Amino acid sequence: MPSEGIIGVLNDLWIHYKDQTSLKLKLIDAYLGYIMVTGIIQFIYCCLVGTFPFNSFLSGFISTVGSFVLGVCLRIQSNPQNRSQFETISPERAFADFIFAHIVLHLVVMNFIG
Amino acid sequence: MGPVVVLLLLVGYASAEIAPSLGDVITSRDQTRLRELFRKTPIDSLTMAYYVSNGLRILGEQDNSKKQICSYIQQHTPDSTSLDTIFYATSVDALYDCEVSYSSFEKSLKDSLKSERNVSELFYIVSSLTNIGSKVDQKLLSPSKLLDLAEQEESILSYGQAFLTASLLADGDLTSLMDTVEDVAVQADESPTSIYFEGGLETTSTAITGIVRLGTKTGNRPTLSALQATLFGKYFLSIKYTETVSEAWYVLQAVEALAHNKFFVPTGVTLVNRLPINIHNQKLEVHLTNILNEPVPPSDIKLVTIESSSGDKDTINKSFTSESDGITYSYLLFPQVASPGGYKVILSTEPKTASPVAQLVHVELPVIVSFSVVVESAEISIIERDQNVAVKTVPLQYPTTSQDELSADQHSKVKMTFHLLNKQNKEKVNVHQTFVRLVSANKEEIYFVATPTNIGIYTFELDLADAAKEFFNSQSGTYEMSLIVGGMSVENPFSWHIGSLNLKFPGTPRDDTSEELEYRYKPRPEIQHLFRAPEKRPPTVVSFTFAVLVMAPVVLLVPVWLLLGGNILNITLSGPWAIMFHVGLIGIFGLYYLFWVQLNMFQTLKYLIILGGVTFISGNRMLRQIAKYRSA
Repeated sequence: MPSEGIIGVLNDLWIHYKDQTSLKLKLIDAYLGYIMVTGIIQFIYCCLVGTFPFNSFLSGFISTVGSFVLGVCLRIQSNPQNRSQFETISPERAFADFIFAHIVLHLVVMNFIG
Repeated sequence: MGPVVVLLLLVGYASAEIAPSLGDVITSRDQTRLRELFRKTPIDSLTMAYYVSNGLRILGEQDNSKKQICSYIQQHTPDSTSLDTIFYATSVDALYDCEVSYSSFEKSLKDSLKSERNVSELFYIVSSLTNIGSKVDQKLLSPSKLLDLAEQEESILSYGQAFLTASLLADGDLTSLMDTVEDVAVQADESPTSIYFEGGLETTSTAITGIVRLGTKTGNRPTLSALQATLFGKYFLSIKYTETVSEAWYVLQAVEALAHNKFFVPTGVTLVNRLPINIHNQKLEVHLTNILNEPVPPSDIKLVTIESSSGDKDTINKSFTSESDGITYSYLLFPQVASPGGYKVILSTEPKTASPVAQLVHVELPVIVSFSVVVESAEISIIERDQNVAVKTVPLQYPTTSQDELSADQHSKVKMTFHLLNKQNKEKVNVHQTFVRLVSANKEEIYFVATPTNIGIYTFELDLADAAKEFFNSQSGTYEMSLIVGGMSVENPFSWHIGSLNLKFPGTPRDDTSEELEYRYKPRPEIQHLFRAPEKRPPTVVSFTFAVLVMAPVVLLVPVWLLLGGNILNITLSGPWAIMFHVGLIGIFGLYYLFWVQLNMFQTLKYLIILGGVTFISGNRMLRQIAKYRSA
């Protein structure tokens, strides 16, 4: 039964995700989803009306992409299952890095937005 | 100018200073023009009286205007508060002796020396006192005071006026002023052909005149080289065509100083005329004069080299003969140089006795050697196009017009051949311009070029079938044919009416359409300037909608977080640092918003450092507490 195959796999994945993932990681995932949606909407707008003014589009898009990347970093570093790879970086330190990088990113974005 | 400077450095002549030729002088034509300019000027102020009287003096004519100027200054007393008017009036009186007495000004002038004055005022005061015969000695004004003031004022004009004033003083040590001449001279700006001071004509003229007068007064040579004097001279010569009386005066004042001093007299070698050299005009004549077109002490002028336009150089090294008028020197150039064309002759001059006149080592003058041209062996043929056989050949005799009727149509070619010879030696020559001109009955002209197949052997060929549409507009008729010959070295350019050609073309002439006539002979439509169209923006609705859409997901995010069970309330658990951290963070993003709308990067960074510091410290503490809380 083909439908059961793919949908079944996805369903299992979803249930597994809901149960196994800690709250903190789910929060970060929700945040990442939000960032991605924002980026997609910006991209659709650009496709519709063209790239003028290009600097504004770039700054907005890079803001979403940068935030997404930083969010992913935070998620990786906060996941206790990855602890072995990140011995020296505590989740708090990961969060501090996250905030600092965001501050720098947004300064640049605001400069470029025009 | 560069090569000349190098030349000067390489060749250190001890006897006379080397300088370039002036290239131009105040010629007698220029002097006549300037005299007219001064004579025609109405004397309506003491300033004009001064310019005109002294200008005419330098130009060698002063008596004619004496009465008019004298009556003016008799009727107009200078304003005792304007030092320059006193200067102008006393100067005119000193020159003309107009029976006016200015001794009443003596006391006030001497008194004014006691108070603080600038250099310009001192110049007027001292000059006026000297003009009325009152001596100014160093008790009243010392040269060192002038130098101090000029140094304070820091302008070349002040230095020039200081030099002029100092040279009028009855006594005083002028060495320190003389020492500054060199420093003043180097401040001149360079142009491709001359040097001048930044202040312009008045400054440069005052400075040069001052330097010369200072030298004359002390008897010592001011530190100005012959090269510098010549280059300054060239600057004044560039202004000699002025129609302004004040400018003419400043030019003449400076030029007189350069011509009549014992130290550096710029010299110029100029061509007497621009007539070409040929069998009728065999002598190359030049003038050797100072800048005022006056004779200089006898010099030996040598013709060093003759350079042809093709680059061949001939070294001659023979002397010119001096004529009796003291300024003209001649050299018999023809028939030594007989080949027609353009040449460059290079001369050098050497004064025979020691004098302040400069030695010119490299003077370039352009010379044209010309010749008379004759046409021989001319004939015109009508050739059958397909078979290339001459149907009719008519010999032509310059300068007569042929009476033969020549007809041709689109099946023929018209061909003309002729030889051009130098009348004198019968050699074949090429000239610059050989045009064949055809004129229709309606006075429309068509020009063609006859080309040489060999030196002096010219051909003109006209293929009527090809040329019909392009040149003749298929217009049949009788055309008058002429040969036009000319060139730079041709003494007798001519237009020779050869005869009439009856041409027949197929088809009909095409008249200009009315559109073409409109386009060609009427004004064109005006071009309206189109400013750059602004970039197309999407409609406001669209962009507004998307702005809202982009910000919308936040509205979804917070409920999702809450749904997932995020604990916003736990913030207070982490203590005061957490609140401060969040406040700091919100503050930073608020600052970023202000940065976008108002602030610049520097201001933003300034505030960011403060806010960032607060946020960092509180964040640090907050996270430490969380970590402690977690591990506890």
